[in-house]
Amino acid sequence: MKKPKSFFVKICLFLALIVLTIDCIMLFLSFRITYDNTIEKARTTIKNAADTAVQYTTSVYLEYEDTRKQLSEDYSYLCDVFEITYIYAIKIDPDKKTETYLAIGFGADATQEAKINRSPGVVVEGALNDEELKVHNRESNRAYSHETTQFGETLIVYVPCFNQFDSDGSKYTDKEDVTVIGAEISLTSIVKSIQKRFMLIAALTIGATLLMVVSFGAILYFRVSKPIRKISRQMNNFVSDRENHKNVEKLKVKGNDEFALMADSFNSMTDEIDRYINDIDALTLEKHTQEAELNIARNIQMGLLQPKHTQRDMFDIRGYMLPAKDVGGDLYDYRILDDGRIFVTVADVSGKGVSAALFMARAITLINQYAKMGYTPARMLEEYNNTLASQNPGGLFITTFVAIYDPGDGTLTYSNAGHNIPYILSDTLIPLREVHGVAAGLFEGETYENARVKLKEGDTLFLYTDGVNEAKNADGGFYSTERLEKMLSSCIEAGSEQVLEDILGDLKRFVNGAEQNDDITMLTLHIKPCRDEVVLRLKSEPKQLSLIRSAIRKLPVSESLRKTLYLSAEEIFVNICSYAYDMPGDVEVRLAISDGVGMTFTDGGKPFDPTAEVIDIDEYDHENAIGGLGRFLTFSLAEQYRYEYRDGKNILYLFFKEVNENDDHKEN
Amino acid sequence: MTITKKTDGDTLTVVVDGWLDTMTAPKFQEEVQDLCGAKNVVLDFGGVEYISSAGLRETVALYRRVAAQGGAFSVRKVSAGVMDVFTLTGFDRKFEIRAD
Repeated sequence: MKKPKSFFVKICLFLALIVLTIDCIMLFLSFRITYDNTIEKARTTIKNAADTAVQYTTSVYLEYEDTRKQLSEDYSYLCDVFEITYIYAIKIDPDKKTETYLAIGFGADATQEAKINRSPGVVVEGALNDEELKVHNRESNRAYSHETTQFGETLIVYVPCFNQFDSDGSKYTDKEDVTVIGAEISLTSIVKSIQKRFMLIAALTIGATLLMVVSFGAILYFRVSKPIRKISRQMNNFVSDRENHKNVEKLKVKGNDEFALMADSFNSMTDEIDRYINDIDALTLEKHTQEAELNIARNIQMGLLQPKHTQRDMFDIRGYMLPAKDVGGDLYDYRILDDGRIFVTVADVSGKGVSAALFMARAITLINQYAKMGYTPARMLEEYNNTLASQNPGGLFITTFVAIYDPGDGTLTYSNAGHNIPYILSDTLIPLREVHGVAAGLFEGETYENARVKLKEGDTLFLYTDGVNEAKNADGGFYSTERLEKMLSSCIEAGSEQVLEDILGDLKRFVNGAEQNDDITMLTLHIKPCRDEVVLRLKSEPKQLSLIRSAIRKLPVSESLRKTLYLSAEEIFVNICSYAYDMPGDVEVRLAISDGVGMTFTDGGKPFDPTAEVIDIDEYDHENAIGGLGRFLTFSLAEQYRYEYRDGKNILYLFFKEVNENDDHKEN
Repeated sequence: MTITKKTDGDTLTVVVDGWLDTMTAPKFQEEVQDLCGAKNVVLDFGGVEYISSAGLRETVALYRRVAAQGGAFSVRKVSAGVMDVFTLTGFDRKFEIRAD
């Protein structure tokens, strides 16, 4: 920061300037008055001196040198008495413009030069002035001349003198014969003494002024500027002291002036601020603790989720969760079960924060476990509900939708525990409202039902939590189920495969940055359309293997995969031919091509699970055993295989991966 | 599938050409029924592009017969695809299977 120019310095300089100006004006005026007075006094003095000189002169006869000499001495005496410089009598010759000194007396301050130039009898030419002439011509009885010559500043008075004596000494009065008497006073010394005096006065005045300004400045400095600086410094220190966790220094309150008041106010203000900041600090700490807890909750929640995107040969699963600031306890989960079926779920815990997140953690672990155990969705929900309800001191509950998709026959089996109705995006938008049970976690012994629906290739299952339809914008409006359905319908029309991204985009546009109140969770399961599909309806006769082979021959797959398909098709088909029917029966073989080849064998023969009791090759008796090799080979080569007996039919599903293809995207 | 047999001393070489599967396995079994008195057997699989478990079974059965009479048994000129099947089933650990 730029060093501030002190306010008090400015004031002092300004004051000094004003006072000095006034001083100068006053001094000048009083000098002028004194000067004028002095001049006036000098006039009186020389007038009196001149008048007296006239008295002396009228009675003497000026023709005699002695007389003139005597008169000169008398003049000198008068000079001393009146304290003037010269008194002289001159004769003026107006025609010749000369003046002749008849007698002259010198005062104490007469210059030596003047004494020589003005001695009696000296005739001066060209020095005649108007005043002298006026007196000589009797136009005036008294004339003053104030002049400055080589002898300095002088004031002269001229008066006429008429001699009372003629040349023989008889008394007469000749008005024609005028002698001019001049009384002259040198002002140089007087002016000098006035100047000297005024210099002294000026010096004293200025000194006094400076003293006053300095003392005023000192008062200002110690009583105003310093306290202000101190308060200012204290204000700065207040911040740094607080940062360094030092005690804030108090201002000392002295006296009872405005600054004492200010210091007092400042002290109480810092006390207030100090207390206030301490309060805020405490609140902030508490808030941080809460935030840390919410972070833990968020981490629990997010850490348990499956990857956002998993893509396999025949399907594409996307999950999305955006936890709210105070964490709602939503979850999504999916899993490709060992038999190739796909388990998906979305759930929403009532409540928020750590408790909701912990409940969610428990729920996701349980539902996953039940899914792995091969339970149907309804059974999963029943077990899950019982387990959660048995230990639920917080009284939280969780709405849950669970579904299992079977890629073999395209069936989606689902059950619902109080959750939002999901949708299937097929040719139309199909809400899955067939079954709807009570939210899980509260009442033990609740039962749930399974419902089935077919998903065809290209269909998408859309699951979500109420964070979607109940998302609020800044105006307080809800996103709403209507808007969601409208958007999903438009996804169908547009043939969009990125339903989740489309909904999310629309949701974000709607919310437009308003604060999120609840977790937003969505999950989509998209069934990829097959590039090709062949369905063969055969009789269980080994000869018909050639039909399967010719179909396989036409498939656009690598030679290596084709060999594998030949082998597996032969092993399974021959197996069916050998054991399924007593008499040849129907066998349906379905070949579906996506990123690999899916082969489904359906027969109406005796129930037989070929996936059961597959030989362990390490324990296989190569020397003596005969059976089981074909099934072993088939299931070794298949990426996925699954058997089920349903509606009186053996259904075996096999999937073979295209080995030459890039597998990067298939595993997350 | 065609099968050609050659006897060289006490070694019988069976040259198989074609697929050795469910359909052809019985024919293979029939052809190798008679070992022509040979002690050792060499299966030339140079022409076998494909083998299924039925073919495997016949191969193993033949191996067991040869092994029982104390002869040597080997499969030669095995293609990569067929070799995979032998490897997968662990038969490569039982008798000599060579790609040359």
